[in-house]
Amino acid sequence: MSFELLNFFFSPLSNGLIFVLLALGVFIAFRVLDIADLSVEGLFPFLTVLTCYLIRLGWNPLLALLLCFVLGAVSGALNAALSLYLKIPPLLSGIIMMSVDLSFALVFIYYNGGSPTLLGNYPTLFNWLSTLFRLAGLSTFWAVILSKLIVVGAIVALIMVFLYFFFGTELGLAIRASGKNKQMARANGISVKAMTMIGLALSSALVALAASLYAQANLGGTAQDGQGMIVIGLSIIFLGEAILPHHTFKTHLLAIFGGSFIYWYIIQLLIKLMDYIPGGSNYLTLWKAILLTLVLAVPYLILQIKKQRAHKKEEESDAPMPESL
Amino acid sequence: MVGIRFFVLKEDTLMKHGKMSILVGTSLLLSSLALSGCGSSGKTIGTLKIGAFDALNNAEKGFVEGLKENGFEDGKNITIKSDNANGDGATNTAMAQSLASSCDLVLGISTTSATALKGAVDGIGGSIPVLFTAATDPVGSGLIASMDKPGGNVTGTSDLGPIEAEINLLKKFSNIDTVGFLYTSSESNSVVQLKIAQPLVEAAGWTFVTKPITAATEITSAVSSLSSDVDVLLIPTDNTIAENMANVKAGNEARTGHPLIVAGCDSGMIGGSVVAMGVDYYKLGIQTGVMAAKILNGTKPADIPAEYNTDAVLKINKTWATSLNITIPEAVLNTAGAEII
Repeated sequence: MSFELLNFFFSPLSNGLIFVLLALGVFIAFRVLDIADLSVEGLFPFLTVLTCYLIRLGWNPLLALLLCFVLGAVSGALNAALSLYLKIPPLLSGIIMMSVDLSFALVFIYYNGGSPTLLGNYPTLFNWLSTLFRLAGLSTFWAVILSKLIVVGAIVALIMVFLYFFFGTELGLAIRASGKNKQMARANGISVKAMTMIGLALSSALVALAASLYAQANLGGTAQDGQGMIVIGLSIIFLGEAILPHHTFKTHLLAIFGGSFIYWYIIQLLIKLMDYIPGGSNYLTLWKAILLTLVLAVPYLILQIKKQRAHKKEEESDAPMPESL
Repeated sequence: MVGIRFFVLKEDTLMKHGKMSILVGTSLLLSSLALSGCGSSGKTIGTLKIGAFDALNNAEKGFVEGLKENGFEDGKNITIKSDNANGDGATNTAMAQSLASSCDLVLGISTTSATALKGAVDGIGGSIPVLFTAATDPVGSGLIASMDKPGGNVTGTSDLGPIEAEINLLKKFSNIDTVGFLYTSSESNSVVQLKIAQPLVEAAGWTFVTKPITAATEITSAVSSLSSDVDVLLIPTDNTIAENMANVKAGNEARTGHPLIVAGCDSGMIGGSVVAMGVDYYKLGIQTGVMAAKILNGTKPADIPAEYNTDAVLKINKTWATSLNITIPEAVLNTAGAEII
């Protein structure tokens, strides 16, 4: 297979895996807690820049990842505190946290001499595995791509299993209850404030993991990294929900997992198609909107048609039935 | 906590099936279509820009022209794929990955695009040449080791404005006490220039005032709220402000005292500034195109020193200065190569 073809199939896989974490973070805020958390767009570039900055200082990449996780949780908890204790509307508190986080990104860019942070030959989480693969005789392409898929895949698997069991515990169920019906949850003796805080901290911590992995996988971080992240997160959730079954919590998580890959294959496909339209990439956003609408609407339309047919059949089978009495 | 089970139960129903197969089928069909179209002559060159502003568009046009002047023409002996990320970070990365795997040489227009391309080429263990243009601080951002000896597979042209020349020009004005510096704080290229300008301005004995903005919407109020002490407003090569020079003009008109506005220019900037001195992005693009031609002819990128813009442009908007009651000294007007409007 040509290099181009290999990349066509594998780069959405590694992007998709990383964005599962982002989408899960957005999912917890948006679906479980029913809060539109906008801080993602600031948190993401803050932590991509910080990850690169720390690794350039000589930090262990895993340590940088863990620090990002903690900082993400702190940012989420602060965001919740702003809306719960200072009565700032959640949408606005998200915007405030976004600005705060983005400012931190700018501070670290300033410390870096005003330049975005590029990792180049600095070690990342994937280095030890890709070195091992290369020693085993694999080409650089396979060594790099496999090490990314294995390391990120392991982290994603761990997180998904954790989320599944966590949201089945009393604490997890209490968080879900607080998101679904505040009054009812309160009536059952749940501290809605504490639950919202824990939930948002978890949500932002997952976004933080995605940011740190994104920086390490793409070898750099800039202040522009956050642009469009919420849209991507929401697109992934909606794509997953439109196409895959999601009736239990477990299948809902799996639907997001699948949605992330579907999203990235759509993007990859569009970028490739744009090569054949002169100046096509200028309208990429329009094509993305059209394709996403199609993917979201077609399953619904198919369902409607099926329903109509079923309805007709019912009428037909109803017709010959004689009225009793 | 017993009552909570109630919330979960209603979710435990059956699944739906069958839609995945349609989707997978369609995408496979489309992807085979997308990949079968390649069959071009010669080498493929990919360009990626972070957004479509005058400066970056001009650099791109110059690049194509520079290649053409050296015998490489799109559609004849080379194929040029040009991608535009429309300001979206994740799209920028995905486009970089796509170009890195399908081209023989890639050009990143702007620091963000160049770093993404470098990351993408390294990420797949490739070694194709990566060129950059309109990247202000290629050494600091880690693209290259040094301007003279770039090393590795990266080289290109920097759009660092001729700040020192701008400040030397200002010394010809007699009545300057305070210099303001308007820039977008999220643009690393502007921060780099801030760090260069500050010591130079202070060495000239003037007070240095910074005015950072975070978005284009703040430009008008930032300019109109500048302290009246500010005699000169220095604007670096800044993408956000370059795109919105009209707002600078509006802000300047909305105040009583008018500072002299000096901008690291390109064609679009003359509208809002009195003096525009800086990088000609079209020429910068041509310089980069020449480098690309050298690489296509067999020179290694590591052996081609990275360059700054060789000839800075100086444009003076005399009509606009007169309407703002700013007198421009003869010494400035007589500068060699100055274009007076």
